[in-house]
Amino acid sequence: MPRLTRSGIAIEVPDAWEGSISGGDFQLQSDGAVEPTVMHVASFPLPPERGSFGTGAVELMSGTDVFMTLFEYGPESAGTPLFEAEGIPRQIAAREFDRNALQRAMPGQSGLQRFFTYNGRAFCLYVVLGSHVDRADILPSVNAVLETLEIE
Amino acid sequence: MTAIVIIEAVVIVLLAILVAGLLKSHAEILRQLAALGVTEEGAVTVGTPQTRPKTTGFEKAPSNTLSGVGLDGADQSMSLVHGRGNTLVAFLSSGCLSCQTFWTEFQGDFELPMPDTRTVIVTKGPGSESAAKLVEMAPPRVPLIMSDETWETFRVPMTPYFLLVDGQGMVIGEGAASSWKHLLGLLRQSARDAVPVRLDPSGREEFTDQQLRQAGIEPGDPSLYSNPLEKGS
Repeated sequence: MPRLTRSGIAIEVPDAWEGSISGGDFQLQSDGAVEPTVMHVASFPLPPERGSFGTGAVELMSGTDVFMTLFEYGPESAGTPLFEAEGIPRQIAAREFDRNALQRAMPGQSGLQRFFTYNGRAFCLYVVLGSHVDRADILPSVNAVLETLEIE
Repeated sequence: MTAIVIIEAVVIVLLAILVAGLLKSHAEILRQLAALGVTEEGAVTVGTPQTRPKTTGFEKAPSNTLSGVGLDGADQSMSLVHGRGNTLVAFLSSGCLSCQTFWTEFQGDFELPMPDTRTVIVTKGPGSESAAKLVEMAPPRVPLIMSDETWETFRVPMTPYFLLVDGQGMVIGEGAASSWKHLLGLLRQSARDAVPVRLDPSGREEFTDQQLRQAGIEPGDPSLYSNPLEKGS
């Protein structure tokens, strides 16, 4: 099982899944913009051009697919009300998914956003399931991946 | 007179040894070139893999994943067993002259013979490749992975080198190509070769059952057990 590591984040990518961890350390880019750490894990082939929250990728999902993003916000966000939840989300319940939680609304899909702080770092975990109706069947694979997520 | 004859005999023997040595080295050169897929006319062969010994049928790719870093430094992993179409793995380098045509073609709106084929470029890792040069050459819509480990795992013998892998991770085509036209030829041939033997044993049984059912022959049908040679008698 391939293991991705970058910017103090590590995750195991299941067989037949794909993933990437880019950015990090909030280095300034040449245009002055900051580059946050973004982790993508998906159960389908990821297109090279995709948005941080899956635009360009979620359109390719089938009903059984999963797309996951872990997006890091600046250290100033850690512990603020939006990020007050402490700890890495490990077990997500099917009832937490909502069709209206999608960044990009796609028919049939379902989404979830969890903001949290861990080790003084602020994150958003965003998960898209290919089918809201079948979310209970798809979810175990998401939770299995989250079990392998490590943040320094 | 005897001395002259002896000298001539020695010269003839030396010349014979020299010619034999030259012939042997020539044969060795031809053998090495053939192993690399180059014919005596100088053309690099495409199509059926030439650079690696093959057994019958198709083999699993040496790995189910292509892992390495992207040009932006992202740690990434791509699957060869995603079950959706084929993957064309193009092993290229920034410095190889023969690779230039492929860098150029991949920059444009290229079309492959099989439309459900994803192309992934794999170069050597950041320690062996010029990332700055690759940034200028890399096509925006084709994923690129830099990885010495992948290069070694797939035992890439030369550049440019191509592997066509189906969605189950079976290598259905492999070889070197010297031009875009050659590559398309490789892909067409691989596509043709792949069709009849894509089924594994369990898949083959299911396929046979399906074909029989379509012909109206259900499991247990007496015709399955009768001797066709006795029918006419």
